[in-house]
Amino acid sequence: MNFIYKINYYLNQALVILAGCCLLTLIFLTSANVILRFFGRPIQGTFELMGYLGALAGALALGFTQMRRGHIAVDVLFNSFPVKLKKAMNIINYTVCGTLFALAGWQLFEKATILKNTGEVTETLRIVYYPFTYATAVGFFVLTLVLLTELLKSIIPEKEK
Amino acid sequence: APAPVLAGKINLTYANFPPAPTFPCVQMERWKTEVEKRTNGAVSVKTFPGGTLLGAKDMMEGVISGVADIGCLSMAYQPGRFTITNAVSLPLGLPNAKVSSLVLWDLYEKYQPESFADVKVLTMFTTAPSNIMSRKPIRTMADIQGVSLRASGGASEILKAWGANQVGMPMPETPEALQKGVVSGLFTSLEVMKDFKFAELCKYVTIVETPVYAFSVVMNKDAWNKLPKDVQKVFDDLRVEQCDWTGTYMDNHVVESVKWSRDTQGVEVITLSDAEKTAWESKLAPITAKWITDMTAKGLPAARIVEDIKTFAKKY
Amino acid sequence: MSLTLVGILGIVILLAILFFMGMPVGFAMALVGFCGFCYVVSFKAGLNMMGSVLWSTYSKYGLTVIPLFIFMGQVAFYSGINEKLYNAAYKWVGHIRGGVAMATVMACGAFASICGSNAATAATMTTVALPQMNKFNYHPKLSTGAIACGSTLGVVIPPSVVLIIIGLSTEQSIAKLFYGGIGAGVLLTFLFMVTVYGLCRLYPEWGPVGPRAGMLERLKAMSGAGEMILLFFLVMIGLYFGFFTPTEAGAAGSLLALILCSAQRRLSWKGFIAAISDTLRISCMVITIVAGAMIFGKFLAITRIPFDVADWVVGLPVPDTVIMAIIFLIFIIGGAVMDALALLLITIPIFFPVAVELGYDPLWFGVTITVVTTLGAVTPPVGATTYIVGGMAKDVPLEDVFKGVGYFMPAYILCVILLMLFPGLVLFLPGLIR
Ligand code: NA
Ligand code: NA
Repeated sequence: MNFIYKINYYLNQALVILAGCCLLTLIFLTSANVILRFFGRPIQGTFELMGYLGALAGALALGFTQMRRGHIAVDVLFNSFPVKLKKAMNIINYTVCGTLFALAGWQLFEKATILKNTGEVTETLRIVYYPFTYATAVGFFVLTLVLLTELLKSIIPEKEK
Repeated sequence: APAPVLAGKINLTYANFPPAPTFPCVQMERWKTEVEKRTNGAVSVKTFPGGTLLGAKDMMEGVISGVADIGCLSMAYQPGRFTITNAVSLPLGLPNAKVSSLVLWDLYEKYQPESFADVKVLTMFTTAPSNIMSRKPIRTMADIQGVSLRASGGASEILKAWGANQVGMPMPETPEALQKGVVSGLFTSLEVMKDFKFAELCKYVTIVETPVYAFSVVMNKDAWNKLPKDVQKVFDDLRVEQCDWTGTYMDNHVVESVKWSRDTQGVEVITLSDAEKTAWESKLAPITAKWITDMTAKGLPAARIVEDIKTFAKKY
Repeated sequence: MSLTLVGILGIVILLAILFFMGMPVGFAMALVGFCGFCYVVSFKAGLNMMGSVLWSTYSKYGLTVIPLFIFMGQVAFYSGINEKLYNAAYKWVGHIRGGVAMATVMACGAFASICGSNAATAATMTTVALPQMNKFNYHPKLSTGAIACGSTLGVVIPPSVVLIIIGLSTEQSIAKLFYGGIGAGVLLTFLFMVTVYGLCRLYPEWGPVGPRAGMLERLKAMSGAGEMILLFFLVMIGLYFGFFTPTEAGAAGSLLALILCSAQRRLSWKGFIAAISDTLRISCMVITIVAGAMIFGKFLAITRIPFDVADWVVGLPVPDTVIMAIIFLIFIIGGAVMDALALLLITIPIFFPVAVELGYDPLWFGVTITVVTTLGAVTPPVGATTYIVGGMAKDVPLEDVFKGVGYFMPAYILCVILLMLFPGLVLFLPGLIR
């Protein structure tokens, strides 16, 4: 089990660093475009790149956010439930959501493959953008992994080393 | 012809991406009305404007997987994908929406592009030719140097050839960007002067009449195959008729929009002098030449496609 | 089973999952929307719909405003400049009952009006304002309610994407709608401030009155808040003179904040990393909720509930005012279960002609309907703004945030009633132009 937990941890650490780099790039690129446009030389394609960088910043942080319990839930009633019921609910939640996001990741992967095969490019820069879609798919697969790890944790009581 | 007699009611969903009053949705409602009338109400079409069911870039896959039975897509949003049919957007001097819509349909019929292999194409049409709408008058090539215009990516090469900057941004952000001077005008067909009230902000229109953008309406193949033969015939009969209707509607709508802009908003419509016109057009010739070279390299009969577009255009 | 029934069942199931299962809000909306869509159309279609919506939402240019503005707020937070700003505000208005909460409502309105996104405003203002209001012993119900509701002001106060969409889909002048929005926005802000004042009269311990500071002390406090005020002015000036669009303002503001803080060595490396990681976590939560709401919205659209309800109302044999009241009620309920933009896109083409036919001014209808849908941004089950504030205010239970928001409901309702009684509140400013 420890092995899976470790992979999960390091993978998300790596992805969140990547997401952070995307966020900073987003800030610098947009600001640079504002400044250069003032001198009549805007950076072509900033607009479309912003969307894709935003996608990476959001999607690559999915697993990290889940690990930090960052996704808000309405737990008013839930918190008053007996421990056993809560545990059962959690098992259902992790299984259902894990499945949902595995499907989502698969669909994003498919979408990226279609974009790759049809040769679709961006409107302004005329560059392929399917790698961003693949990366978004990775974000959802990793979220699935985090949910599965949480499922394991709630089924198998943690043994002390 | 006698109206078809049908057993059972057929419900079809039709998705569109722009808001309801725009011309792709107007043609959708017209098609719905005609279909429901001609099948004596046996077919009922439920329309979903404004991207409520499918967004612009999601149409093709959405229709293939059955999210909607029918969808209307703009080919210009997905460059690289509808290469052959998108050739109508080259600066080839197509005069109006009616002619370019019919040319587009001929082009589709002749080449049967691979990109539409997984769907049934119900009709195709184009926008009216694009023109420049600006805050300051643009009368000569010198006036357009370094000017930022809001335009779709498909116009970037044309604007670059003239020395202007193409800025891509969503339509809803454009009015504010114009007011603030982030862009100094826009480059698209003129119905937006009235529809989106751009005449309030842009007091000058420079007539350049290029390019047009291609749209197509596609249907899920399974849904198509399930239709009775007589309904299929109604749909097939409507294909070219709908091209013609939409083109004509678009052209009239542009005339009306320009008249409104002139009469109520005091917009000045600038026609380039003959010398200027030649200069502007000569800048665009290399774009078509480059497209032919690039696409020939990809194995497309590019030179023949361009010739065909010109020949088809003469027909109308 | 009829499609309408499926849609209603979907809403009920969503509520049940939200309240009994403790599933994250964004996940629950995506789950119910996906399953519902599969049931109505097909599994294959449901899969495609979910994939497309996720990709288009995550990669949407319009949503990049969220991480950009959140980061600006986080930098301000970790470098401590927002603390100084609130200290200054306390010196100026702390002696007024509920003064700091009123100042927060106004700050939310000002911020939301430039950034244009409810979600980004709620996230940023929670970072900036909530810890400070805690420090001055404001009750969490009051502070979170004020932030959540104050953040919705940006939709009414121009520039506003919602007003633009209404302008585009009803072929009205966007400039006039903006002017109309100012009247309604000022009224709503005023009513929020009255609410704060009333609450603090009712429960004096919710907004403790501070000592009155002398003028010299007040001016001194201003110096500490200088950076934040400078930052705010740079962003405003840049927007006013058209150096950047609202979305770009987020990036420019972030960069300026970074430069200001590192030049003064206010922001440690540790603080910088924390700012980035918090920004990612909060943005991810916000975008996931938006995406979930979109998926759920596609499900409601395919059941055609919004279309059917609209058709039904139009055919009712009742007086005009009653029809208008029902339309507003539908927008309130619709706003509770759907994303505001999606709801407007579906229903405006149906309700707008009705309103015009009933003799209502199109401009008035556009602005008033904006106020009504704004209300939906804070009400459960699909109330993004409230969830965001609740999600960030870790030590405040979500039900307290909802209770806090509840106290502001009368202000919204009163605003709509006043707009109905005195259409001039909306129509006066636009009447001056032309
Ligand atoms: Na605003
Ligand atoms: Na809501």
